Amino acid sequence: MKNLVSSFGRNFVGFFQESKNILAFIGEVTEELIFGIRNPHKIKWKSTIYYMDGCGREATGIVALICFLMGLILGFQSAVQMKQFGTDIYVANLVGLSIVKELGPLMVAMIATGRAGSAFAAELGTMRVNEEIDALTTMGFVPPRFLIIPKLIAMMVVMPILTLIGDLLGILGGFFVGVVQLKLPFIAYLNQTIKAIHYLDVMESMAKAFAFAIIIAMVGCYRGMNSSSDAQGVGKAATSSVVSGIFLIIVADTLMTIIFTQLRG
Amino acid sequence: MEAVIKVDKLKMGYGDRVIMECLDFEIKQGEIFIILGGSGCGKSTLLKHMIGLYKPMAGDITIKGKNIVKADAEKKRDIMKEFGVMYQSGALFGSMTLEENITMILEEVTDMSPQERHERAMEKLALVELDEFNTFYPAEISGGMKKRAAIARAMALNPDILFFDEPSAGLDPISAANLDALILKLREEFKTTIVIVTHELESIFSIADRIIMLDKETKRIIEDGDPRKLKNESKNEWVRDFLNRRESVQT
Repeated sequence: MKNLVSSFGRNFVGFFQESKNILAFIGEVTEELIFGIRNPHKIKWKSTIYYMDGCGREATGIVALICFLMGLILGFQSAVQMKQFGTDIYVANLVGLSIVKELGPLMVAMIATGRAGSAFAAELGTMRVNEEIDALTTMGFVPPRFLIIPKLIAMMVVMPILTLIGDLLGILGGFFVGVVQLKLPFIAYLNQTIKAIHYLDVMESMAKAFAFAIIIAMVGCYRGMNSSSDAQGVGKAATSSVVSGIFLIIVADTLMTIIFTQLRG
Repeated sequence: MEAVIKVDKLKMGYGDRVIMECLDFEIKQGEIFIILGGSGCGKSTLLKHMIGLYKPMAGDITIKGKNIVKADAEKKRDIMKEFGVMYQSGALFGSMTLEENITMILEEVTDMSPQERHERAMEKLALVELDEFNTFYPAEISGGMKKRAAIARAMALNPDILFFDEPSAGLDPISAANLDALILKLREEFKTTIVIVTHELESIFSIADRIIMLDKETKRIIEDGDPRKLKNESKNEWVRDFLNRRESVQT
């Protein structure tokens, strides 16, 4: 019983300590981001472009494939049900809205967490092991400015673009089912999709992608910067960046879905 | 000679665990000062306190008259420009060439033009005889060369003080001796004050002006002086044993 109480106490204190560290980290990165906006010449643009290439261009293929298959699966599943009621054309609504409002940004965020989030954590964790972060500090650098801001900006730029590509490919997947399996006329499916998706739905998709980008970059960098200075620590940082990243993305998605639904009545 | 580093009643540790306390010493300009002690006694931790990476539990550290413990982030960055650090692993950035590893500091903290930065980098690489390797990446050179490149980077801003964390670790005896010769050359040519954490007795006897010996048990400095004298004259048996590479009762 005594052990249970002391263990609870330790975890409770640990939780508040971790929360304090996270808040300090968010504060520090926000401060550096504002500094970067005021002094754009101080931003490491070369690094930013490097991360945009790695997290954006290199991820385009897998994002396109997964989102296309997601649209295809969604199309097949809904076609079976819709056909029974003679409402085949509404496959376009279901696929289009599901992909744009929910699955597009979510799938892209999952892929980005697995690729970029874990890569950020592993990179920064390895730099900690190799004392490179200590070296940066003693050389007069501000590590978050040098190491985190380029990753954050890169993610904020590429995630909405990737999501837009994912949305389009997801719709194309549904389109494939509608035209090939359901034998719907090409133009009818296209018109139904255009009619179903409001521009505010696309804005919602972009807003979610932007928020997820911040979560992925911040979680990956936080885990990496705080990893212990050994190989196991780097592994743990990469794993926890993915797990906590996915959890926070789902939480943020839930909140944003509620907020957008309320706002649009 | 004037003291450039002062450590005053320093108490350090992790969380509530005290590693060392009541550490008082001064390092004079141009001195080669070695921090010595058994494994896990806190030598590297002391070095990391001296360079401002760790905050002590109590006490002060002054570098060229500026208190690094009480300084805010901005002032601490200014104090850090007064010294260079060579880390145990070298800590070179793998995605940059040796020249870029040096010019990146100059780009960040000076107003030098790209040409001036290139010239300074080449000058520092020539100092450690690596000027022909300026376009090489750290992965393409040997361990000894990495350490020399790290020294060149530490010298980029022409600091008066250099800190070395285990410079000879992982090097063969010849490379270690070359590194010792380089350290002596830096002191002779630039009158640089050099603070080293090391275990290597050969290095200690060939380059040190003064050592301090940390003791894990008492958590204090147990000896301070010239290693050649302490080797036979120290009143502490363990220090004599350590410096004579003899097995001691205390481990």
